[in-house]
Amino acid sequence: MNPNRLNHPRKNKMSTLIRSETRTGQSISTHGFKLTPFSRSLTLRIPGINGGLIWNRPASVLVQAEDGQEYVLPVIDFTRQVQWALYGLALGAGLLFLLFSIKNKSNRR
Amino acid sequence: MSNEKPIETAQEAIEVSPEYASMEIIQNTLDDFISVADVNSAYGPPIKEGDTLIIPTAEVLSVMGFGVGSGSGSGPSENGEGKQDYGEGGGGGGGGSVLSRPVAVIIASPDGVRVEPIVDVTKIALAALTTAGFMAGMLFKMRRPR
Repeated sequence: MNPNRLNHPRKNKMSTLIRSETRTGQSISTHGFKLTPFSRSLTLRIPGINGGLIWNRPASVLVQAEDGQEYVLPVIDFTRQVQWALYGLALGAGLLFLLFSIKNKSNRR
Repeated sequence: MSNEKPIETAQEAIEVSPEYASMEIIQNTLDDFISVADVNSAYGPPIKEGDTLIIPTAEVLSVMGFGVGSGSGSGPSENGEGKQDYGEGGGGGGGGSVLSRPVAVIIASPDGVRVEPIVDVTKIALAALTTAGFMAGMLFKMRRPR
Protein backbone atom coordinates (compact mmCIF):
# COMPACT_ATOMS: atom_id res chain seq x y z
CA MET A 1 0.00 0.00 0.00
CA ASN A 2 1.18 3.48 -0.78
CA PRO A 3 0.98 5.55 2.45
CA ASN A 4 0.79 8.74 0.36
CA ARG A 5 -2.75 7.76 -0.45
CA LEU A 6 -3.69 8.93 3.04
CA ASN A 7 -2.59 12.50 2.31
CA HIS A 8 -5.81 14.28 3.18
CA PRO A 9 -6.03 18.08 3.12
CA ARG A 10 -6.67 17.76 6.89
CA LYS A 11 -3.08 16.55 7.43
CA ASN A 12 -1.73 20.08 6.81
CA LYS A 13 -3.99 21.46 9.51
CA MET A 14 -2.86 18.80 11.99
CA SER A 15 0.84 19.30 11.37
CA THR A 16 0.88 22.85 12.78
CA LEU A 17 2.88 22.75 16.01
CA ILE A 18 1.81 25.94 17.78
CA ARG A 19 -1.11 28.02 16.67
CA SER A 20 -2.59 31.07 18.37
CA GLU A 21 -5.93 32.32 17.15
CA THR A 22 -8.52 34.92 18.05
CA ARG A 23 -12.02 33.76 17.22
CA THR A 24 -15.27 35.69 17.00
CA GLY A 25 -18.53 34.31 18.33
CA GLN A 26 -22.09 34.92 17.31
CA SER A 27 -23.42 38.39 18.25
CA ILE A 28 -26.16 38.69 20.87
CA SER A 29 -28.56 41.64 20.84
CA THR A 30 -30.10 42.80 24.12
CA HIS A 31 -31.38 46.11 25.57
CA GLY A 32 -30.22 48.00 22.47
CA PHE A 33 -26.71 46.60 22.69
CA LYS A 34 -25.06 44.18 20.31
CA LEU A 35 -22.48 42.01 22.07
CA THR A 36 -19.82 40.19 20.06
CA PRO A 37 -17.60 37.82 22.07
CA PHE A 38 -13.96 37.13 21.19
CA SER A 39 -11.91 34.21 22.45
CA ARG A 40 -8.21 33.47 22.18
CA SER A 41 -6.99 29.93 21.77
CA LEU A 42 -3.56 28.34 21.83
CA THR A 43 -3.16 24.97 20.16
CA LEU A 44 -0.02 22.93 20.75
CA ARG A 45 0.82 19.70 18.97
CA ILE A 46 3.84 17.55 19.71
CA PRO A 47 5.40 16.04 16.56
CA GLY A 48 5.30 12.26 16.43
CA ILE A 49 2.55 12.03 19.02
CA ASN A 50 -1.13 11.80 18.17
CA GLY A 51 -2.34 14.33 20.64
CA GLY A 52 -1.98 17.86 21.84
CA LEU A 53 -3.15 20.65 24.05
CA ILE A 54 -5.73 23.38 23.57
CA TRP A 55 -6.00 26.37 25.85
CA ASN A 56 -9.05 28.47 25.10
CA ARG A 57 -9.96 31.57 27.08
CA PRO A 58 -12.33 34.52 26.72
CA ALA A 59 -10.56 37.66 25.47
CA SER A 60 -13.02 40.52 25.17
CA VAL A 61 -16.52 41.62 24.20
CA LEU A 62 -17.27 44.24 21.57
CA VAL A 63 -20.28 46.31 22.63
CA GLN A 64 -22.13 48.23 19.92
CA ALA A 65 -24.85 50.56 21.19
CA GLU A 66 -27.86 51.66 19.12
CA ASP A 67 -26.51 55.24 18.96
CA GLY A 68 -23.45 53.97 17.10
CA GLN A 69 -21.13 54.04 20.10
CA GLU A 70 -18.64 51.17 20.18
CA TYR A 71 -16.36 49.97 22.93
CA VAL A 72 -14.43 46.87 23.88
CA LEU A 73 -14.75 45.32 27.33
CA PRO A 74 -11.75 43.12 28.16
CA VAL A 75 -12.51 39.91 30.06
CA ILE A 76 -9.93 40.04 32.82
CA ASP A 77 -8.93 36.89 34.69
CA PHE A 78 -8.60 38.43 38.14
CA THR A 79 -7.65 35.16 39.88
CA ARG A 80 -4.80 34.51 37.40
CA GLN A 81 -3.51 38.10 37.76
CA VAL A 82 -3.39 37.84 41.57
CA GLN A 83 -1.69 34.42 41.33
CA TRP A 84 1.04 35.79 39.02
CA ALA A 85 1.49 38.86 41.23
CA LEU A 86 2.03 36.64 44.29
CA TYR A 87 4.46 34.33 42.47
CA GLY A 88 6.29 37.42 41.17
CA LEU A 89 6.51 38.73 44.72
CA ALA A 90 7.98 35.40 45.89
CA LEU A 91 10.53 35.44 43.07
CA GLY A 92 11.47 39.08 43.75
CA ALA A 93 11.83 38.43 47.47
CA GLY A 94 13.93 35.33 46.75
CA LEU A 95 16.31 37.32 44.55
CA LEU A 96 16.51 40.06 47.18
CA PHE A 97 17.35 37.51 49.89
CA LEU A 98 19.99 35.99 47.63
CA LEU A 99 21.62 39.37 46.95
CA PHE A 100 21.49 40.20 50.66
CA SER A 101 23.14 36.92 51.66
CA ILE A 102 25.91 37.39 49.03
CA LYS A 103 26.55 40.90 50.37
CA ASN A 104 26.67 39.62 53.97
CA LYS A 105 29.16 36.92 53.01
CA SER A 106 31.50 39.39 51.30
CA ASN A 107 31.28 41.78 54.32
CA ARG A 108 32.31 38.98 56.71
CA ARG A 109 35.42 38.29 54.66
CA MET B 1 3.58 7.77 -11.10
CA SER B 2 0.80 6.07 -9.14
CA ASN B 3 -2.78 6.08 -10.41
CA GLU B 4 -4.13 5.13 -6.98
CA LYS B 5 -7.20 7.01 -5.83
CA PRO B 6 -6.85 8.82 -2.45
CA ILE B 7 -8.67 7.18 0.46
CA GLU B 8 -11.70 9.24 1.39
CA THR B 9 -13.62 7.20 3.99
CA ALA B 10 -12.79 5.07 7.03
CA GLN B 11 -14.41 2.07 5.31
CA GLU B 12 -11.98 2.41 2.40
CA ALA B 13 -9.11 2.64 4.88
CA ILE B 14 -10.26 -0.57 6.66
CA GLU B 15 -10.34 -2.37 3.32
CA VAL B 16 -6.80 -1.25 2.54
CA SER B 17 -5.17 -1.73 5.94
CA PRO B 18 -6.54 -2.06 9.51
CA GLU B 19 -3.57 -0.03 10.83
CA TYR B 20 -4.40 2.93 8.65
CA ALA B 21 -8.05 2.56 9.64
CA SER B 22 -7.03 3.03 13.29
CA MET B 23 -5.06 6.12 12.29
CA GLU B 24 -8.11 7.39 10.45
CA ILE B 25 -10.25 7.01 13.58
CA ILE B 26 -7.60 8.81 15.64
CA GLN B 27 -7.40 11.63 13.11
CA ASN B 28 -11.17 12.05 13.27
CA THR B 29 -11.10 12.10 17.08
CA LEU B 30 -8.31 14.68 16.99
CA ASP B 31 -10.34 16.84 14.65
CA ASP B 32 -13.19 16.74 17.17
CA PHE B 33 -10.70 17.59 19.93
CA ILE B 34 -9.42 20.60 17.98
CA SER B 35 -12.97 21.89 17.67
CA VAL B 36 -12.75 22.55 21.46
CA ALA B 37 -10.85 25.73 20.50
CA ASP B 38 -14.15 27.17 19.31
CA VAL B 39 -15.42 30.41 20.86
CA ASN B 40 -18.52 28.57 22.19
CA SER B 41 -16.40 26.62 24.66
CA ALA B 42 -15.17 29.89 26.27
CA TYR B 43 -18.62 31.54 26.39
CA GLY B 44 -21.61 29.77 27.87
CA PRO B 45 -25.21 30.14 26.70
CA PRO B 46 -26.83 33.45 27.78
CA ILE B 47 -29.04 33.28 30.87
CA LYS B 48 -31.96 35.70 31.08
CA GLU B 49 -32.92 36.77 34.61
CA GLY B 50 -35.64 39.40 34.58
CA ASP B 51 -34.27 42.42 32.75
CA THR B 52 -30.68 41.18 32.96
CA LEU B 53 -28.82 38.95 30.54
CA ILE B 54 -25.88 37.03 31.98
CA ILE B 55 -23.21 35.39 29.82
CA PRO B 56 -20.78 33.13 31.74
CA THR B 57 -17.21 32.85 30.50
CA ALA B 58 -14.68 30.13 31.25
CA GLU B 59 -11.12 29.18 30.49
CA VAL B 60 -10.86 25.69 28.98
CA LEU B 61 -7.72 23.58 28.90
CA SER B 62 -7.91 20.32 27.01
CA VAL B 63 -5.12 17.75 26.74
CA MET B 64 -5.31 14.56 24.72
CA GLY B 65 -2.99 11.78 23.54
CA PHE B 66 -3.29 8.60 21.52
CA GLY B 67 -1.16 5.65 20.58
CA VAL B 68 -1.64 2.76 18.24
CA GLY B 69 0.36 -0.29 17.21
CA SER B 70 0.08 -3.47 15.24
CA GLY B 71 2.13 -6.46 14.34
CA SER B 72 2.13 -9.76 12.55
CA GLY B 73 4.12 -12.94 12.59
CA SER B 74 4.28 -16.54 11.46
CA GLY B 75 5.42 -19.78 13.01
CA PRO B 76 5.25 -23.55 12.65
CA SER B 77 1.71 -24.88 12.77
CA GLU B 78 0.59 -26.92 15.82
CA ASN B 79 -0.80 -29.52 13.46
CA GLY B 80 2.68 -30.05 12.15
CA GLU B 81 3.17 -31.27 8.62
CA GLY B 82 5.58 -28.40 7.99
CA LYS B 83 2.79 -25.84 7.65
CA GLN B 84 3.18 -22.25 8.78
CA ASP B 85 0.59 -20.35 10.88
CA TYR B 86 0.23 -16.65 10.32
CA GLY B 87 -1.26 -14.13 12.73
CA GLU B 88 -1.63 -10.43 13.12
CA GLY B 89 -2.98 -8.06 15.73
CA GLY B 90 -3.14 -4.49 16.78
CA GLY B 91 -4.21 -2.23 19.56
CA GLY B 92 -4.39 1.29 20.67
CA GLY B 93 -5.13 3.49 23.60
CA GLY B 94 -5.51 7.04 24.58
CA GLY B 95 -6.32 9.44 27.30
CA GLY B 96 -7.23 13.01 27.87
CA SER B 97 -8.42 15.60 30.29
CA VAL B 98 -10.50 18.75 30.07
CA LEU B 99 -10.16 21.42 32.74
CA SER B 100 -12.55 24.32 32.90
CA ARG B 101 -12.51 27.31 35.23
CA PRO B 102 -14.98 30.22 35.36
CA VAL B 103 -13.29 33.54 34.62
CA ALA B 104 -15.97 36.22 34.58
CA VAL B 105 -19.60 36.97 33.79
CA ILE B 106 -20.83 39.52 31.28
CA ILE B 107 -23.88 41.32 32.60
CA ALA B 108 -26.10 43.22 30.18
CA SER B 109 -28.92 45.26 31.73
CA PRO B 110 -30.86 48.36 30.63
CA ASP B 111 -28.17 50.39 32.50
CA GLY B 112 -25.36 49.06 30.32
CA VAL B 113 -22.94 46.20 29.84
CA ARG B 114 -20.26 45.28 32.35
CA VAL B 115 -17.84 42.43 33.03
CA GLU B 116 -17.70 41.09 36.58
CA PRO B 117 -14.67 38.92 37.40
CA ILE B 118 -15.12 35.65 39.30
CA VAL B 119 -12.61 35.47 42.14
CA ASP B 120 -11.40 32.00 43.10
CA VAL B 121 -10.52 32.56 46.76
CA THR B 122 -9.10 29.03 47.20
CA LYS B 123 -6.59 29.47 44.37
CA ILE B 124 -5.54 32.90 45.64
CA ALA B 125 -5.20 31.58 49.23
CA LEU B 126 -3.04 28.67 47.99
CA ALA B 127 -0.80 31.05 46.02
CA ALA B 128 -0.52 33.36 49.06
CA LEU B 129 0.41 30.42 51.31
CA THR B 130 3.03 29.23 48.81
CA THR B 131 4.52 32.74 48.62
CA ALA B 132 4.48 33.14 52.41
CA GLY B 133 6.08 29.71 52.90
CA PHE B 134 8.79 30.44 50.35
CA MET B 135 9.58 33.83 51.92
CA ALA B 136 9.60 32.38 55.45
CA GLY B 137 11.96 29.62 54.29
CA MET B 138 14.35 32.13 52.73
CA LEU B 139 14.27 34.31 55.85
CA PHE B 140 14.94 31.30 58.07
CA LYS B 141 17.86 30.25 55.87
CA MET B 142 19.34 33.76 56.02
CA ARG B 143 19.12 34.06 59.82
CA ARG B 144 20.41 30.57 60.58
CA PRO B 145 23.95 30.80 62.01
CA ARG B 146 26.60 28.88 60.03
